[in-house]
Amino acid sequence: MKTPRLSRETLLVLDRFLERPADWRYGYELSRSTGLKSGTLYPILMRLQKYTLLEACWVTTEDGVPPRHTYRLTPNGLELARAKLAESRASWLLQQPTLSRG
Amino acid sequence: MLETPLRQAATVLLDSAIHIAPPDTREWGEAMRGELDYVEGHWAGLMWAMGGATVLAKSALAAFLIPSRHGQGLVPDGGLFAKTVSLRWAALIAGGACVLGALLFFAAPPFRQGMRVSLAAWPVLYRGITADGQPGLAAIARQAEAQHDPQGLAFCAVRVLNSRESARLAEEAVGLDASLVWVYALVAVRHPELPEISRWLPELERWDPTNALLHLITAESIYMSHPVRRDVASWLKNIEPRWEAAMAAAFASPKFDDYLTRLKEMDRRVVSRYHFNDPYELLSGEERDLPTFAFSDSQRFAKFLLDSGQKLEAQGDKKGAAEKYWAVARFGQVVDSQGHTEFEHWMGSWMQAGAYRELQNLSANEGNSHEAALFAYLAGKFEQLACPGGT
Repeated sequence: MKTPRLSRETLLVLDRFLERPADWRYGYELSRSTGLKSGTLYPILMRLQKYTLLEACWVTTEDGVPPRHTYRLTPNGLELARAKLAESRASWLLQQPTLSRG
Repeated sequence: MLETPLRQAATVLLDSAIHIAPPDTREWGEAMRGELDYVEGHWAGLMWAMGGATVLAKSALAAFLIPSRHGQGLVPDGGLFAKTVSLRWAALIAGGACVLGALLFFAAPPFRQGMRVSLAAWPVLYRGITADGQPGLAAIARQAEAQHDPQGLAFCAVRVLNSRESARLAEEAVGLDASLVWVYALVAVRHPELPEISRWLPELERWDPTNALLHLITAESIYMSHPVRRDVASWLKNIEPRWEAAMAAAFASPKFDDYLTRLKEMDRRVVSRYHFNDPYELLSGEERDLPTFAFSDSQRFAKFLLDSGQKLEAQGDKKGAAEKYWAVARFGQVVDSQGHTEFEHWMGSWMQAGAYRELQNLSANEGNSHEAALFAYLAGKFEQLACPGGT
């Protein structure tokens, strides 16, 4: 499978998902934890779902309150997230002057 | 106090965006709408809604531009995959087309001319319309002289404020093209003090023998050359026979041509030939109306004729009186029907009103009530035109 290059914001979202990979997450919660605005966050979520890296479902919390959309990484998403984040961290470490010389 | 309206505005904004979003994106709109209830703070809620609405609007735009790409949406700044650029290209092409369209609009001749006209207004604020404030005309005059262009020279002759320069340019233009002899009349009307007028008038009368305007110019040149012209009271008391003859000829003329139609036709050609776009300079020095002296002379001579008619009427010479009144009415008709400017129409109406009022009295004194009623109607009509709302 061809692995596309991910943007910094996407890596940030994946990182938050990896904190508790089994949990379903709300959009507003992700927005607060990543600092991303809704205009940036939702297109990322939409894309992740389109590539079946993310699954979404509606949950009803209580009567009279609109249902909420929740998200969780699929197994593919989990694998890709781990790989990409590891790659990203390695790349970051290599860019540090002291380590790259050593 | 502001909280509820802000929250309502945010809800309405997101609902509206969901409404315009493509069907496969609406679920995401609903997701953002669902989260809105949990966003803390009303301003934060509004910001959340604005962000969501932007995403949905972009999707709607993408679906509109590229219908086959429904559901893919636009890649936002810092989107998921950096290599997904085709839609960005579409947006760039659309944006480029808009910019190109705007540039074409700015390049369009009517827009450029409009801009020049707008910008030309500013220098007038400090330059003003003075004799040396006609650089555009001076440039055209130099160019026309170099190119031996009679129309360009005539165009400048009727506009330059310097009377000597105006006469020189007019003579040069007519020297190159004798059919432009009418330019002498326009220059004479604008600069009645020019000594060249006495040379020009015979030429003009040979070319256009029935035009009343030439007799009006003759009358004015007689007045200007009169030794007592500064003593207006004396001048008014003693009508000079030559002046009277010139005015009588003007009033008897069947034609009145102010040559403004010829001037406009020439202006159109010269303005486009020299790309002259300064409306202020175009109009500067060019008095489009009949000069004041033409009206004051006509007014004075009309009054002289009406007074003479009254004297004849008092002496019992009703036929002679009627001839005097009709002379005024006829000249008023000629100027009114053949003139081009508002002032000329007004002057024609003014003279007709006075003449028809005298004819009305004359007919009433003769016991011809029907004729008197007709003249009363005509007098009232022209009085209304000459002085709307007046008495």
